[in-house]
Amino acid sequence: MPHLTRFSCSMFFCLGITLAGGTSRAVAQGDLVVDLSEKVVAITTGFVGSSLLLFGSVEAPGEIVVVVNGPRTDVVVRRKERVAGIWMNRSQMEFSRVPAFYAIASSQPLESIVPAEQRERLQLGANYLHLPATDPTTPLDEIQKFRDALIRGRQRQELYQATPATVTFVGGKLFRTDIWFPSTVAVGTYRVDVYQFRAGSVANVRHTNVSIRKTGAEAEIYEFAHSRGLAYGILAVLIAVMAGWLANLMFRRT
Amino acid sequence: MQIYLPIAEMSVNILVILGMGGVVGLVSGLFGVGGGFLMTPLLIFIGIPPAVAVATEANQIVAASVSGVLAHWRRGNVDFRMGVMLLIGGIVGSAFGVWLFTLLRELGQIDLVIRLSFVVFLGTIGLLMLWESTRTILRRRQHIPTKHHHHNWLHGLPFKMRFRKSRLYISALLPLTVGLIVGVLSAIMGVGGGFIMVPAMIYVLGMPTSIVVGTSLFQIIFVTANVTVLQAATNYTVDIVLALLLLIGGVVGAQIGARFSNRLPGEQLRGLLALMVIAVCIKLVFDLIAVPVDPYNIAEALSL
Repeated sequence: MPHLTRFSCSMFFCLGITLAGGTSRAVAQGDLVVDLSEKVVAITTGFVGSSLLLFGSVEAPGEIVVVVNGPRTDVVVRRKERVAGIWMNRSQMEFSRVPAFYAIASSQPLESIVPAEQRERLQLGANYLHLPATDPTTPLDEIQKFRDALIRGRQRQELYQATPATVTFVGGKLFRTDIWFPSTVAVGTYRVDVYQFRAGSVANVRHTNVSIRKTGAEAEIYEFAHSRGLAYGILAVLIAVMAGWLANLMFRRT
Repeated sequence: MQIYLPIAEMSVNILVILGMGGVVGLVSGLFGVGGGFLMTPLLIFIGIPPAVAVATEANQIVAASVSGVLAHWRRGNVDFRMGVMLLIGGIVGSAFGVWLFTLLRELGQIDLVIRLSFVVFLGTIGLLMLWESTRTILRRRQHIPTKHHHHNWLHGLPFKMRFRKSRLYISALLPLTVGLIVGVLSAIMGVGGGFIMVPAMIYVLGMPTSIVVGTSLFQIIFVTANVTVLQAATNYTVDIVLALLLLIGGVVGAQIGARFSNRLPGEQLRGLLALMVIAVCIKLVFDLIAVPVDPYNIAEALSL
């Protein structure tokens, strides 16, 4: 038994050394350290959107690009056309795994930091997002029109954002930027990628996550509505009947 | 003052919602319509997802109608016998309507069908009511006596029943059929159906206007309660926070409306409702023919 304990002790010791070594090597290379002001955005009763502070430091000079990707869902885009004077949906296209949120911020205009082929490879900018149409037989220019409309629609809702030159340096080594989530933001895990570019190529990259979730009464109501829909519906009707009756009672007395 | 809605997943201004509830509640108590034909477009207009707007509105109409019925019942303005007959037809009709809704959705174009049926029904009913009430008002001024109700082939149908409150002796088939048709339409259009029911009761059944309002509200309670439970169980689209805000404004408005409706003469009441119905209709027509901001629109893909 004592032998076993000593063995596991040394195991932990070794592991500790490895971890510490890994960390110190990263710092020694120097490069890029990032963190967020909060790891969880809580959606509560008063939620009107939320702003997060992303901050970090660099050892060597270079430009910073921050990309935030929301959870992915399948999306249908429909196009209206005029038929006999009336606008009606005539055609539609389905896109799979479309991010519900996409924000990109950088310390300089993106075009001056990152060459086009790099932007395409790393999917930097909404126009470079891989958004495959579910039906591959559609003509390419048609797909492009629907893709543009999808991005345009999301931009109108502030769910897709491109804010060049909003990553600001404090001194030479510290940088910061604000990430804005509007109140219509979807719940889920958001991936944050921070790139450092030097001479048009990636010098460093760091990933972190932020979780957006409902808390308190909001979360409980949502959970109840989705897990026991029938009971929720009956309760909603009972509350409505009670409210109607109460209002009547109050008005009769006055 | 903003509040986050857990099911709609967005934040809204509390005062805007309370105000909307109050105004629509007033209309509801005044005319005996649930108000869904006004509230549902308004909710969509402020950005609530249409599926949530339709389901939550049904829930709110339950409260407004209960409040309204109690107020009318105290004044003896509810014909329960007629209400039950309409309701039986309504339940059968709405079951058929839900089936039809699903079919139309599978074929696509459900949105267009909803809008077009609103335009057709609101337009027809609004113009008919406006014409009729104007004629009555003009005749009264010229002291031309009006007949209480006309006798036609509808009064020759079998299974006659006496509706004492409505002072009618007509076939039970008439209210059953009216309820059935209104049930189908209300399931497709996502409203209580009062704006169709009220004119049908006046012009087809020949009921007195004072009884129509309370009886229509009585029937609407059950139709919308049914819709609320079905929507909550199948689509999870009833937002109870939004419904509560709407009904706080709505029940108060409905009470005030019910008081006014006893003071205003019937034909003026009908004329007012007609103008409101026509206004909503014109707005819908405009939306259908105006060039959209963006011809493309985005929706979550339905996972089947």
